[in-house]
Amino acid sequence: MKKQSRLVAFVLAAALSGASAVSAWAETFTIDPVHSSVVFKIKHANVSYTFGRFNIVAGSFTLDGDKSSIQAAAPIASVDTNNAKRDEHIKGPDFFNAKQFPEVSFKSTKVEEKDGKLSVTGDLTLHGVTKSITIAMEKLGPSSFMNKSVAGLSGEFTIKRSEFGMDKMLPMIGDEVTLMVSFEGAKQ
Amino acid sequence: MITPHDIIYCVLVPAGISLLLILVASRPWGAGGARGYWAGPIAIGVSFSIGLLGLQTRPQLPPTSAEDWLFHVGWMIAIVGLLTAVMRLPITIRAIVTALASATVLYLVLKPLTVGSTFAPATWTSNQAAAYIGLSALAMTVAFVLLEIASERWKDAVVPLLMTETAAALGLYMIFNGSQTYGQRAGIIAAAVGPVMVVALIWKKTSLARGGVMAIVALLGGLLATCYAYPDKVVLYRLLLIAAAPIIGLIPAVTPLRGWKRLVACALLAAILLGFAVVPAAIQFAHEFNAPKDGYSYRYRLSSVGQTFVSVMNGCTHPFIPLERFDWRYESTNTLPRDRQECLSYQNSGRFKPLSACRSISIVSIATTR
Repeated sequence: MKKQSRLVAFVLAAALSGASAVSAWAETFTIDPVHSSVVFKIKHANVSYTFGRFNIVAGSFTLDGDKSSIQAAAPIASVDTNNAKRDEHIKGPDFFNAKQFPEVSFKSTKVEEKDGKLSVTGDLTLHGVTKSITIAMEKLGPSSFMNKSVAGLSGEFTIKRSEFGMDKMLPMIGDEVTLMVSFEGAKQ
Repeated sequence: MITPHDIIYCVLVPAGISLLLILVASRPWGAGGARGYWAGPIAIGVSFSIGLLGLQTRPQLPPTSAEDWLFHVGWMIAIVGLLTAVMRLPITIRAIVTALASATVLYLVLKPLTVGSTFAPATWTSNQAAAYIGLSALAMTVAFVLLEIASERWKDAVVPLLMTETAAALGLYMIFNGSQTYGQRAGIIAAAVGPVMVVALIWKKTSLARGGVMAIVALLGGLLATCYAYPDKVVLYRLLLIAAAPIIGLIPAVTPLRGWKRLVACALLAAILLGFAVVPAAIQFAHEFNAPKDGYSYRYRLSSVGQTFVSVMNGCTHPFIPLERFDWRYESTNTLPRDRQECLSYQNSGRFKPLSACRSISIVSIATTR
């Protein structure tokens, strides 16, 4: 009898914690730029990958069934490839054209969850061109940090820069750009 | 990096289309030939758009960038110019049409500056944009009137020559400032006007009046505006010098000079002004290219000829780059000791005094070699 009641209590606790985890994801998390990263890599001369990152990222996410949404944006001015001259060049009209298109942004249109993995479909706007892409993402958390409820999303996807009108210096500088994103969000 | 693909679509295709149209329109082989005013705007506008089609990925519809808008401006101004030529409108109406076309082009290419983002406000307020567009459109209209009158009065190669020089100088200036995108576009305009100049040199009836000048003013004006607005490194007064060069270049045309003397005087005066804009940018370019600070040379790879020129220029004559700052790349190709020794021996013996023209040629060679 005692064993049975313990089992019931455990199942209930597990169910409740699961429900609380689901409800925790249903909150809106604001992306914390300090603990979030948008990193990209691109082939150079077909022999190496050059990595870059956006030093600033902003946005929010919530995972609540049909109401799920993820949106994020990063200013082109924050692009950093560890070389000032190159940064200046790629922010210019030959690549990102930052003055005309000051940010890269993503807004989800559909979020599906299967076996704990997310399939996020949304509109990526880069260089003034908006295209629908699907990103496989991993849920991280939720957890508590500094008395705040935090959760994270992480994923990787590849785009062709020429499809976004960024077609200079092909093929010496690769067409495919792989972006690795990791967002940490704090509950609003 | 200038590739064969760039040369085909920046130079050969627009020049070929333009030459074909101008020849068909003026028919210099026939008895008396023809004025063929209709060909000017099409030669400029359509050549520009077709050249761009080969250079970039398909322009977005609706256009999202100034570059996409410039593509559409190309064929649209060809139609407007063609109508102007066919309808034989008086110059007053042509000037009004040009003013409206210029304001529209400027609005389209500069519109992004009035839109902010999540992270930063818009660069210009509506009033600032209106003032800039209004003044620039006025300047473009004045330029149009002067060049149109010159084209109608002197049916020779003066105006096509000045416009070719100006577009080519703008192309070089933008390439030296690290913007291949705009350098290529200016190059296409130069390549489209160049054949008109060549035919006009041979066949005196060829003229850019009644449509052709309008197309160039709209395209070059729009391009100058984008060159000012979007790249970081351009210097306003140098762009203004480039913009003023074809107008100032007309001054010798009102003197008693005639024939080839007038042509040469106009070309020289414009070239001097353009030189003030382009040569400092070229020297700066060469200086930055050879600075071994961080190893990022994103612009152009030198051919052996270009390397030699730059070595001689930097080692022997360049006032801003001491010998100690020879590029490490020369070491890797084992050319440093030889060049350096040669430079030193020349310097010490005092035998070698390269002309500034040599320096200019070397600078151009950097931009045009891979």
